[in-house]
Amino acid sequence: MEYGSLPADAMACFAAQALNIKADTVKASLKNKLSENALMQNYYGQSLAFFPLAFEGGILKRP
Amino acid sequence: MVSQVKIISFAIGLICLFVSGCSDMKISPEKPLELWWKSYKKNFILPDGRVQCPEHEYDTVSEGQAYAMLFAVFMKDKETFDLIFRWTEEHLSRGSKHGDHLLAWHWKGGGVNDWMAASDADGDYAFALLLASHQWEGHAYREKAIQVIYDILRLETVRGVDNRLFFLPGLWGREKDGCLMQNPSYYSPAAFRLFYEATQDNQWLYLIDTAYWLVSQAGIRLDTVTGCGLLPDWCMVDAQGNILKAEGRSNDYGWEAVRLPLRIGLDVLWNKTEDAHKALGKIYQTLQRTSVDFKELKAVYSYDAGLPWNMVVCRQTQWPVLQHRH
Repeated sequence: MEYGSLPADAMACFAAQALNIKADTVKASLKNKLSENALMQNYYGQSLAFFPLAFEGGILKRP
Repeated sequence: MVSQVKIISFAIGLICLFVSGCSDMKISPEKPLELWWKSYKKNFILPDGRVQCPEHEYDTVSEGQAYAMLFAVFMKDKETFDLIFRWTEEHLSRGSKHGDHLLAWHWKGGGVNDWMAASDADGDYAFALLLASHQWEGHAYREKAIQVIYDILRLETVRGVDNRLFFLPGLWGREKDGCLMQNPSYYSPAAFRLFYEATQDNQWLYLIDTAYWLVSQAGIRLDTVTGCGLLPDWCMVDAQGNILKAEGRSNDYGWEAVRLPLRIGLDVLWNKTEDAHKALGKIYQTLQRTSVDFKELKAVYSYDAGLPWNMVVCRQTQWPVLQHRH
């Protein structure tokens, strides 16, 4: 597993969501990495992971 | 009879308390966002509101403060938002030293060690404050946001080729021979549209126009290298509008450019513009193609979608680090 690619996975996942494209592989990869203990303190990756999670949670609303 | 009811109610109460306590402890796949936020706060946000970065000796950057404020406002966590906002104003505000409303970008070892501003962080800071003013109807949030927004325009933008308005990386970026240092991932069209709505200042619309112009041009060619759909972390725009390599900075699709899907994706979601959809689609297609080529997504690609780096794990810290291919 390439730990440094958490930001890339997070952003690819978010791009797919925004474009309304089905991307199960990248979503699965992101979820696997998010559950890895080694990545809990990966600050940048965790920060960017917020956006696909927030999209799924339906909270990214325009004011 | 009454005492029996009380005992039964007490027992039920205890069971409920136990069950709710247990469910809070275990990971629930139904609530990944809430669990992520809990974990993020525990790992990165200190009790005083400072957001620390473990990978960089627990230092703090203005970008991190602004991101965490964005997370807090979307999560409707006012207490955490206010905590981070207070720390940021007390420790990073350039007001007392430089008289503006921008933020010092770097804090380390108990104080600011670089008072330079970073425009991506300033933009996200104003964005978070403006969202907060809508979320919680706070006049203080809006007032601060407007102050930051106008100082960004005043200090972190400049006119360039064809009288186009550019977003500088900070209080710097005017290079020799009329060249401008640019970071495409610093442009945040969705935020800029809110800034325009808040101020009715057309300069924000000009900056959105430049954002998509830059994304388009920097995707076509970088110096003499033909693009393939990815954008560089950094580049320069010369006085004729050519996109050049940024000397001494990353020209890869790396840690900076990786954020472009966030910047453009929010604009797709919120405003559904053709420019945004086209730009994001191009990046996504290229990433998809390279992930097939390399069997997975990589952290960093060269501008032409190759691999400029090897990822290795540092023996001492166990952190992943990038090593140049020789």
